[in-house]
Amino acid sequence: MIFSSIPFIFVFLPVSLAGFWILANFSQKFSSLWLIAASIFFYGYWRLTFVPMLVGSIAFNYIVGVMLARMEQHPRAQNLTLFTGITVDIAALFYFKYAVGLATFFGFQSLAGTPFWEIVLPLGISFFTFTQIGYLIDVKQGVAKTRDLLSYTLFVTFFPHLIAGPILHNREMMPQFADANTYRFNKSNLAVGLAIFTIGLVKKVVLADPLAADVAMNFAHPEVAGFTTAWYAVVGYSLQLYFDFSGYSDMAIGLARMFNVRFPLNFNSPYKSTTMIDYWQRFHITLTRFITMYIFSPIALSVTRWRDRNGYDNSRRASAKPGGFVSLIAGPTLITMALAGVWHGAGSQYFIFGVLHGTYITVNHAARVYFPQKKKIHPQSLLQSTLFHAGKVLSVYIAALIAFAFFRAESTGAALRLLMGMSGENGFGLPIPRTTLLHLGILFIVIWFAPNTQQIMSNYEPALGRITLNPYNFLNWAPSIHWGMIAGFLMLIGILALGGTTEFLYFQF
Amino acid sequence: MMNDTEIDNTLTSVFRQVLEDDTIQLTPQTTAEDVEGWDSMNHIFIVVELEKRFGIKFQAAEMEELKNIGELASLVKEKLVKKA
Repeated sequence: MIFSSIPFIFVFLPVSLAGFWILANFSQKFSSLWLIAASIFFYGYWRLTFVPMLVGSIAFNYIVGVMLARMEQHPRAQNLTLFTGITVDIAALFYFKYAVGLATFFGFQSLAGTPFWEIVLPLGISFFTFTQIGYLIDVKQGVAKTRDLLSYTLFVTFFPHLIAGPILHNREMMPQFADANTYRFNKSNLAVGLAIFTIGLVKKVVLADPLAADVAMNFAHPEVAGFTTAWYAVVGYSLQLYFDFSGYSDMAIGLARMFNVRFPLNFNSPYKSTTMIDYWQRFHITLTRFITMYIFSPIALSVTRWRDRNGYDNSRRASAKPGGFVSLIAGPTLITMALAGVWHGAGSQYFIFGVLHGTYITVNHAARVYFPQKKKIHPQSLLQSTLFHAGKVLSVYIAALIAFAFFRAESTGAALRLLMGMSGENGFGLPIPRTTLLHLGILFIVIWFAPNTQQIMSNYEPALGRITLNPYNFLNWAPSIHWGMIAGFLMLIGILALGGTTEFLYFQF
Repeated sequence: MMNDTEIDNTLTSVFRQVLEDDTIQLTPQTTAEDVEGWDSMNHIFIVVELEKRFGIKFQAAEMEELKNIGELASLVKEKLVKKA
């Protein structure tokens, strides 16, 4: 079931909320069970055959978690169990997500037509696999404390995050599910949640979806794309993805809030970033957090420990020497980002997407290490500093655009053809209609100048994590008649626009 | 077993050494935003230097969760108690 659909908004959501509050009068346990049942229904609505996969994955990881907790005194057995658990999780993910892609790559086309070739990717598998791997590591490292089956199942299945994140940590959710206040009807949370959900809905159906047709068409024929068409393809996609994913994330945060649960921030105006490091702290925040915690940090930590044991210096100065820079910064960054790229899908284009971003981040680190703050140019006037800032924002955006060509393209070849088009190789291309340019212009104004959802909601703790304040006071949401009318109007527009809605882009990952 | 002052002094000395800045003053409320140069990379150097000085070991997940110096100090203390 898609958040932006009539059955979801008018049937599923009200029924699941009502059941949750009513059952809470009898017992929290009933409410939790109801929410789990509702979430599994939500998941099975697409395809019933996916349900056993989800349930099996939860059962498996729960058992591994229990075993890990019992082995606290036996680190070796614990390591082996953790390794086995993660291997099985990754193997399942690999089977569904990468097997066909790799078979094609290695020329096993003869398998086409066999049941193997018909493997369908279970929805959200990358997300619930990551959530659970994180849980296993946390149990092993002693930071995940709550371990009963009911809370664990609720944590993994809770429908607002099940299909496309945010990727949650056990320890930020379990205390909330354990809190009795979560099970009480709270009209303030309902109002705040609805307002956030509405903003997300409008982003998705009014701002993102109308771009889908042109983007799909332009990406389908990269070989004929002239300069304008090729740029329109990637710019259009960057805007579609932005509003689709930030809309989805808002809706997830809003839905959770209606159930009195706060989610971490997942999207924080990434196109306002002034550096590539900043970009990844604003784009798909919970994925960045996950890969930093479970891939980058362990690699960097073991490299640093190894250097320490072998008499190498570990300090700011050490990371500026070539060997230090490569082993401490460039290596771990490139490995981490390449894996992050591949997490999105099987094609080599995802790998290149990851490596490109890894390279951007490495260059960013190099600039920081070799040109520290003190040596940087300091703009003299307001105009200079504005231009300087705009230049940085634009260069980050354009770097991201080039990577998006790979992220969206059918293959690496197609992405390269599109980049050729962007360089002018295929001529000027068709002029872009004035209405389209106006449309894109409005979207850029929203992206670069409007406050984001969490800023608008900043007086009501919209999400976990640090929320920057809204620069425009008059755009601060409040539970008033005036804001009620605005939200109602936006909801109406959102619902009227539902007809042309498409699936969220991140459902494919 | 070290007392709280000794732990705090060692923390300050490690921060000063790794970030090469002798003016650094730490309080329990100090966060990464307050200390120039305390980024994710230098955080790892700091953690490994702390491991060496205190003879303890951090898990990657633990070090990501720290919000300020106070939490870092109590994590160190917790580990020293466990070790003793």
